[in-house]
Amino acid sequence: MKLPTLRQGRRFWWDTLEAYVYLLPTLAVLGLFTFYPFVNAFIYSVYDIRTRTVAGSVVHATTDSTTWATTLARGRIPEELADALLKRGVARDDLWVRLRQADRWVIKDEASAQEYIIVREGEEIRVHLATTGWAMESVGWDNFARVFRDPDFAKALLNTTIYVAVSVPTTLLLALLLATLLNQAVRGKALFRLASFLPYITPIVAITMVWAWIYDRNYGLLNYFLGTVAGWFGAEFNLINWLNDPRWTKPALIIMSVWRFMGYQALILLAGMQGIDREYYEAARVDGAGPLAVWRKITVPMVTPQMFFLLIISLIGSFKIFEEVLILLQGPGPQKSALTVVYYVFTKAFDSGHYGLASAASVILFAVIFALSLFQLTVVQKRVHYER
Amino acid sequence: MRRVAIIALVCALGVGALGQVTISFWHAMGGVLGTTLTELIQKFHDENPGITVDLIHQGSYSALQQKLIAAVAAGEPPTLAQQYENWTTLWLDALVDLDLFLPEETLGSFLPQFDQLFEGRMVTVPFNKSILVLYYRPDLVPNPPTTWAEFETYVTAIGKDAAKGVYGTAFRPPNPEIFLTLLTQAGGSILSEDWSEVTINNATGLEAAEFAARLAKFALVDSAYTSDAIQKGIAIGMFIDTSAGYTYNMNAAKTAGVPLAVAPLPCHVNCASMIQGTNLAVYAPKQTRAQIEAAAKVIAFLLREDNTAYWAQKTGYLPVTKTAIYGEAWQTYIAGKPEQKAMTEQLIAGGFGQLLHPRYMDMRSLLITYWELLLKGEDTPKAIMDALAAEIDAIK
Repeated sequence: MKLPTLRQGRRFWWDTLEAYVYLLPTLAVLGLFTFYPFVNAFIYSVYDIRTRTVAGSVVHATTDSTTWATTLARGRIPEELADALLKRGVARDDLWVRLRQADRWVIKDEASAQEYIIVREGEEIRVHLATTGWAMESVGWDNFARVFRDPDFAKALLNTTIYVAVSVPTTLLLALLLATLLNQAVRGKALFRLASFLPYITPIVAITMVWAWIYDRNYGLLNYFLGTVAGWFGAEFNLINWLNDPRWTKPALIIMSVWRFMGYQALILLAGMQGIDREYYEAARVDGAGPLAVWRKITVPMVTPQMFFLLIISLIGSFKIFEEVLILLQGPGPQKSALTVVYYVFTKAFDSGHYGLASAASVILFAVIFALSLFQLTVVQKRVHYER
Repeated sequence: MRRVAIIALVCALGVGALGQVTISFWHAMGGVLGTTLTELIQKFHDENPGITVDLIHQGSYSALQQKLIAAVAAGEPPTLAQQYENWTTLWLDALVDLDLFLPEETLGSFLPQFDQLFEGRMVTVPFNKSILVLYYRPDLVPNPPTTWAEFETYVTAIGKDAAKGVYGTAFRPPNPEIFLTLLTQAGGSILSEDWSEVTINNATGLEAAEFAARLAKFALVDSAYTSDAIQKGIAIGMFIDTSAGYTYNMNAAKTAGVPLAVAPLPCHVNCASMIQGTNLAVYAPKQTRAQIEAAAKVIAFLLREDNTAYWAQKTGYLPVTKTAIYGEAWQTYIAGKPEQKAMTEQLIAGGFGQLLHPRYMDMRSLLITYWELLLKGEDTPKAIMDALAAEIDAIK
């Protein structure tokens, strides 16, 4: 490698600095909202995190536990304590009791908002500086062990895997077919493109609310449509309870997902198809290849880079399915049939307050996605045809 | 002269503002509940001009819970908030001992059903409380059952015909409080008294589970509120539901053009019925003593006899204090309202609250899972109860 000369080097450093200045706003946002939480999830995963009043350094100790306990139980400050804190500049009138138990009390200094925790151990009483808030206690790999032992997590992982395994290839295959159709010389092509892209740009909440109606057992469009089709063939159709039958919640999520992402993926593939050199098609025609052979041997191989990109992106996105479950099913579904890993993380953190456990589950999800992405990059990518 | 007057006015306003205490009150009361709460807080403002209460509606209970969890974690909780018992156990240290701030008359006014201490501390007071009662169709059930046996006889007689939309009863899987009521009525409990042993799968637990499983064969088992099914024209002989659902159930029956009435629950070994609804708690972080005292004043105001009775009449919740429930206003009100009278009797006769265990949140989640399995007949009641007990044992 040729190193820059001193003169060129100065220029090089200025250019680099300039580039970083341009990047700074993006890096700040990414750092705050992506990298910081990402790193913290790893840290939190080995801690038990609770809201507690935590004792700091000891500021006073006494053996007069009976008098203190009686006075504090009345919500008053013991004389000896008031005198001890006065020496630290705390006015007696600013002290008040806010928490009292048999062997533990918390008092607060109104002027400084400093809390003190008073702990009784046998005859001895110690007064500590205290803070109330998140207290982190290291638990090693306990959170991971608990997550792996939790049958709900196993269920969530299985549900998510089924969802990914069905929705990702189905969407990609249908998108490929749609892109092929849009690539033909048909009238109103722009309108079809717009229509197929609309689900992707419509907010997920709005989409899910509409699908909740479509899936309604009694009045939903889907059951009406299926019933009508069954009627044409003289078959009996039992109304499907899409959102309340554990057998149908995952298919409901998959159908909605396929509908939502198919158009977007089709447009990416269409862009790839339109970039294929016409000479390949002309050569194939000269050689007498039929339309299906041309599609299989030329079109599909030539869009494998786009398919590979979509495979990675949709696999990562599908593993993170959350909003659809929250809004469509308003919970994990009957018998937790639609409990997904991210929904599991959400409930552990924001319903049960087990932040450490939730972080451990999210780290496991990261490991799964990371391993699959590596597999794709090393194994699947070998089958991708890059035009040289 | 004019300048002097303006300065005097500004000074007066400044002095006034200095004495003003502002507190935030997070709640999840929508519709008529929210309107009534706003009305009461306005009345509080009129009586206490030195205190401003920022009443903040957080949407649903789950939204309130999630916002409280995040706010407590961030060290920025509100001054006052509605909360369930199982949320309270998540952040006990952040709460203020209310018995240090509430007046004697408020402290002595609660019904014994609401005597609850968390680790020996009184950190919440009851607020919007409802109780499980029996809703029944008088045309299908002429005399509401008073025992489990009568209940089962009626449910079996009405039977189940899904095609015609007829069910003896209805159960909601997300509502395990019904199972806990049956369990308590059979004399059982989730844990032993000292919490050292899981007792949910002993003989009494199994009796309750088997009873529920037998009823479930004739029941509409759906996660949606039973009022939704009634509104769609589905006939349900009787069902256990919270008294807070009274307006919704009655409106649904009215829409469907069917009669619906309320009675106390049928009893077994006892007449227990689980109390639901939230409590009020005051947070310590970032609050001054003046704010905490102001929050205590709001609580004392809301629990005053006249306000508690008014709140109950307007919302369908039950009065939580002895002064209000036995007071003239409420007694006069229920004299002409047999349904509300039944609910009041149910509360006095057998109201019991949540287990105040720090892992109750996780236990309830397990209860929901296994209650659903039981209702859907996924396994035998014994196998289901044993599996549930093993899981509770692992987390208790």
